[in-house]
Amino acid sequence: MIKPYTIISTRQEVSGTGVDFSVTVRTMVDEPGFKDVKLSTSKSFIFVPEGEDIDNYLHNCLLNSGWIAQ
Amino acid sequence: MIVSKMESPEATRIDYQQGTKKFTEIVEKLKLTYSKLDASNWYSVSEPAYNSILEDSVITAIAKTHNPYLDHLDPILVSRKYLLNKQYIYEKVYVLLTNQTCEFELPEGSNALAKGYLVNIYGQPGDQDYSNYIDIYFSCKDHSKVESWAGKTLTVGNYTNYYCITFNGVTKERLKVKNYWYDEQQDLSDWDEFWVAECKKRKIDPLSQLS
Repeated sequence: MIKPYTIISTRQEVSGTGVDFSVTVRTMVDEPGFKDVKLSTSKSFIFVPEGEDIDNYLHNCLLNSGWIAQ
Repeated sequence: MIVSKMESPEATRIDYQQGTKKFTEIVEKLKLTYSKLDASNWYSVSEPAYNSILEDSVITAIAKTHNPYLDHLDPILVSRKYLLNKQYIYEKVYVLLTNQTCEFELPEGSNALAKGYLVNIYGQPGDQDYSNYIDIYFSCKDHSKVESWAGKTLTVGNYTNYYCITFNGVTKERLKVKNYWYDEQQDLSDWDEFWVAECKKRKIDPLSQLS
């Protein structure tokens, strides 16, 4: 199973887990006279409430924010 | 514009380039099931075609470029497979292959070009492991040799023909033969040129790999 993001670190916080993560998306820029590959990276932090699965929660957030597509 | 045509024992698959009416129609239908789908990075999308190994009707989307989470597999191409009834999604990774690195028997006069296999991506529906089904893509100087392996007549393209055999990765059993044909030169019609370029990127001498 390949994860489309990287969890950099986690730390226990009051009523949940703090997660530092990164996600990178590669897209093709294909415009008249210009063709290139663009990398977009987000390094960010997310708070995962107690009782939630970290991967599932993070994945849903990235899906809803458009960093991951179906 | 049709970018590729493929025939397998159970179906014929046609792929449409982004920007065409057909592409838009197929994507819009897919979005009814997958609202978070993003087709902006797709080069082409296929009509649904039945796949006897996946036991489902499948739409194939070929990506313009692959995402970094697949970099460690060193793909030369990536596609996404949408299994319409099971509602599973897999990514298919195509990696460079040469006659020297091909572990599977091919018809005489063939040149191995690529190996394709399905991978599970976290969060995508579908946890069945299909990675044991290996697709070997190749060219062959003698179309009739491939036909005799397929056990039937295969369509001949006016410009180029390429082939794929699906193997069981463990037993090496041959499961089915697929045929891709092109009637004229277009973006995807010259697999061997694409293969030579990918060999050179990896500092492999392509001439030393040919049969």
